[in-house]
Amino acid sequence: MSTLQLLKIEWYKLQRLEVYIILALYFLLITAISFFSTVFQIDAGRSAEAVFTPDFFLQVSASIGTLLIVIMVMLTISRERTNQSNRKRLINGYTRDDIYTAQFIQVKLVWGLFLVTWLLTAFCSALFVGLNPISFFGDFTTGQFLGVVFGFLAKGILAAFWITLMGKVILGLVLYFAWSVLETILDLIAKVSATASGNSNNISNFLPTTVIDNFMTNTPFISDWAYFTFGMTMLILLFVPYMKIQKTDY
Amino acid sequence: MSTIIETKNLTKKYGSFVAVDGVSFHLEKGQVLGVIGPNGSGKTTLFSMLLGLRKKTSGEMRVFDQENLDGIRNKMGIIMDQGAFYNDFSAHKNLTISAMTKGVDLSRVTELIDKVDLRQAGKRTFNKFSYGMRKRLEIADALLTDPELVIMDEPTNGLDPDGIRFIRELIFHLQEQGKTIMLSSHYLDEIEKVCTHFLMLRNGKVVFYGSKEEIKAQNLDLESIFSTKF
Repeated sequence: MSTLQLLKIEWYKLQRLEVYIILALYFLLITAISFFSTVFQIDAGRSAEAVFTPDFFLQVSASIGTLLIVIMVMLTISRERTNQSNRKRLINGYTRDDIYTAQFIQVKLVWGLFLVTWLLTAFCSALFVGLNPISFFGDFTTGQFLGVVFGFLAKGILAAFWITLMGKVILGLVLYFAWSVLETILDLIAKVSATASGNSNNISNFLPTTVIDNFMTNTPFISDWAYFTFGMTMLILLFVPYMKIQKTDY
Repeated sequence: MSTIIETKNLTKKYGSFVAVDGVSFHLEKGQVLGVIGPNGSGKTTLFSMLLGLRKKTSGEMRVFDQENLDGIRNKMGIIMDQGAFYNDFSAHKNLTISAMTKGVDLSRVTELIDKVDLRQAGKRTFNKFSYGMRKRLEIADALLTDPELVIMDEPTNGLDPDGIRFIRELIFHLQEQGKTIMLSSHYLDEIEKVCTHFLMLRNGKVVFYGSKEEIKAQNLDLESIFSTKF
């Protein structure tokens, strides 16, 4: 099947109530948090420009956006399994490569929807707190924009990885969070032991999801190893689901 | 007559377990082949190999004179035991997705929804369908491309008498149109009514393969053959 045909089908399938609800929820939550946080601090005597900065908006929108993009990708991909639609797709002429491509298209469509919603949310939030949205966007650095663009995509790919391996949304989410918690604990242990021994070892550059999170929030990487970790993580996250789809009996 | 399906010593093994063991048969254009056998006899595995869902371990298999199904999928309509549709989509949306996949004109979707009498389902989602409605949607899906070969795995399983009659009439109707049909069922009387040829499987092996005429010539019926073989 052609990529365009797959794209049309996946776009048609994505037009469902839960997608609209999640996107609306994202918009409303971020806009409300941005508005009330800023208003309370303005009341305390600070200016809107000083409170509602790109860094502040990124901290709020990236964490909630990440959670919602993961849930949406997992819901979308798990549906193909719970409805046995992968079996039907093979009967209808999909190859296993087509199934993988369609899954990747699903991730990219969800990612695209979140980026558009993120832009809209940033625009409206700036407007509601009394700032000029265009100049607010002008305050973002290229690194911050790239962090959002690739960070959301990386989180979508990570969610696709877990759901392809686990099949069920709840299991995928548990492993997604368990892995993040494990990385946090490892990072803490390394930091504590580094402080105690006087070394400057920083293993966060080698922790896959930590690197993605740092990339999203534009936390400066300590070393170039973070880029290596990011690249290797992406390769594994893309390759393992491909092999899983090739080997599964539907 | 042209051969639609031909297998020679088709075998599928899972480790040391042989699910389908050297099955050979051929299905000619216009024939209705009934595949009969108890649970675990290899019917579904045989169907899965023919549909390209499972790879054969050995033997030969040709469908429309091709070893693989590339480019001939639209000549085949498949009705599986469990309809694999999106639970939260309506019949129309589910069929539209199939039509987009198969490259069929979307006007055919409405036509088939009327044909299988699912128009009244409206926006009701698939998870709220009765078993009979699910089966009818599966039939509409199978007929989207006006296929030459229709494969039905347990088409009457779990249906009420009206549903069984609907399937029976559908098979007769397809046969009149010159379609070739391969179906499996547990119901011997049903299969005897609609099929022209029979393939009995036991433990993955063929224990009987012949036409209705051959059975009649021996003054037998399907029930008596089945009881001697099982």
